[in-house]
Amino acid sequence: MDEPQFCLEVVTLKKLIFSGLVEGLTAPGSVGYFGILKGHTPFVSSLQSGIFTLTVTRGERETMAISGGFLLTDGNKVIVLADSAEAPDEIDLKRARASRDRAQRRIRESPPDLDVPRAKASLARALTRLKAAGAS
Amino acid sequence: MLGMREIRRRIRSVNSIQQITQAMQMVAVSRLKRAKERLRSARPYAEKIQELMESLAPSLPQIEHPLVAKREPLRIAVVLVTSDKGLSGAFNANIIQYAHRFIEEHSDKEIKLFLVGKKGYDFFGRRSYPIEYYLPQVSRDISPQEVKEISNSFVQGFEKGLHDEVYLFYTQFRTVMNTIPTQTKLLPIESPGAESQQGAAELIYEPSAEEIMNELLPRYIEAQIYKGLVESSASEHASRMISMKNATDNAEEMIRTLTLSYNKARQASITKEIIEVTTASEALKYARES
Repeated sequence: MDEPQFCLEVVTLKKLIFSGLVEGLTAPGSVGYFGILKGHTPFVSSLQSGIFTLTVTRGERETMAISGGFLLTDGNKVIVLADSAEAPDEIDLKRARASRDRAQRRIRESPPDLDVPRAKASLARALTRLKAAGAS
Repeated sequence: MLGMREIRRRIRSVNSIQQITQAMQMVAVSRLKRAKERLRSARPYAEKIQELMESLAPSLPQIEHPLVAKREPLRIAVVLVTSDKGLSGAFNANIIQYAHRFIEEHSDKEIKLFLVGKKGYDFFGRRSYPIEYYLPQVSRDISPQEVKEISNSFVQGFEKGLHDEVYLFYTQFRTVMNTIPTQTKLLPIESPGAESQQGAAELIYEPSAEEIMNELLPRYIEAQIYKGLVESSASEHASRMISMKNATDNAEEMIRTLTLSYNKARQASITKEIIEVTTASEALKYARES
């Protein structure tokens, strides 16, 4: 069998986060998590905030918290354009907790000017970060 | 010729000017280094989003999205990126002149201004152009929120039909010596590289091509704005670095000539004193002899 690896690039507006060969990945698509292996049919998906996992070699995994963006593959390589992508050790727990609490409070109090989708998105981002960092 | 005391004072003041310009030059060098780094790391995203746009291009014409809507260009929005601080040579003047020329060429249209940076506001604020939006101060490491805010300022107006075309004016950074005022058309989005790639039409979209577009197009705009801001800040620091280097060199030259004339003045006064002494003693000798 051929090498089971394919080329993956994860970029955000500010910088290149990851570039290299991986065996597989799972990504938080906007209609649910999906996995990609080598030879996937050409495919584009939008992403929502969630945990992005990539398998570098069998058993060796990396995770990152991403929030929104796209994934594009042509079968040989995968490009991820993320709004943000952070490895667990880069996550600012204090900030994530603060923004979770703020979002929860806003949703609970629901002032008349509340932008509901935005508050929910912000809550989802904060929860993802905390989950990726393995904290609460 | 100036008096010695006068010259000494001028040397001192030129010297302190030189210290300031030299410090500014050094600051500009380190900021430029960081800006270049940012420019380099912003490149992958810009390239990838372009790639994604191109691979989606074949399906773009079938999609009716408010951001691709072509209208008769009667009202034009100009987004202009300048810096907040001066002392950067012709950097701001160049980009402002460039945008001003564009505006004058389109004087039959209604122009709306969206300004980023204080210098552009200083220039256009004094003229009778409607300023729709003004962001003074972009933070040093341009945040995604700021980019979003800038893009929202004109995207919403475009969707509502308040303006028909949007152009971005910024200074492109090629090399330190070569920075170019540039314009790009931001809206309506034109499908890039329409020569459709083979097999691109077989893409599977999730959830759907239309929703992908809904998400992608605003980000495409944001990526271009971010690039504009980063390029502009690199150009600004490059330009400041050069003009401060010139100022430092000029101050050096001025100190040299002033020191020269100081030395001449000093020599002249010494010579004068010696002449006085010798004439006096000659005169005394002459008086005694006679």
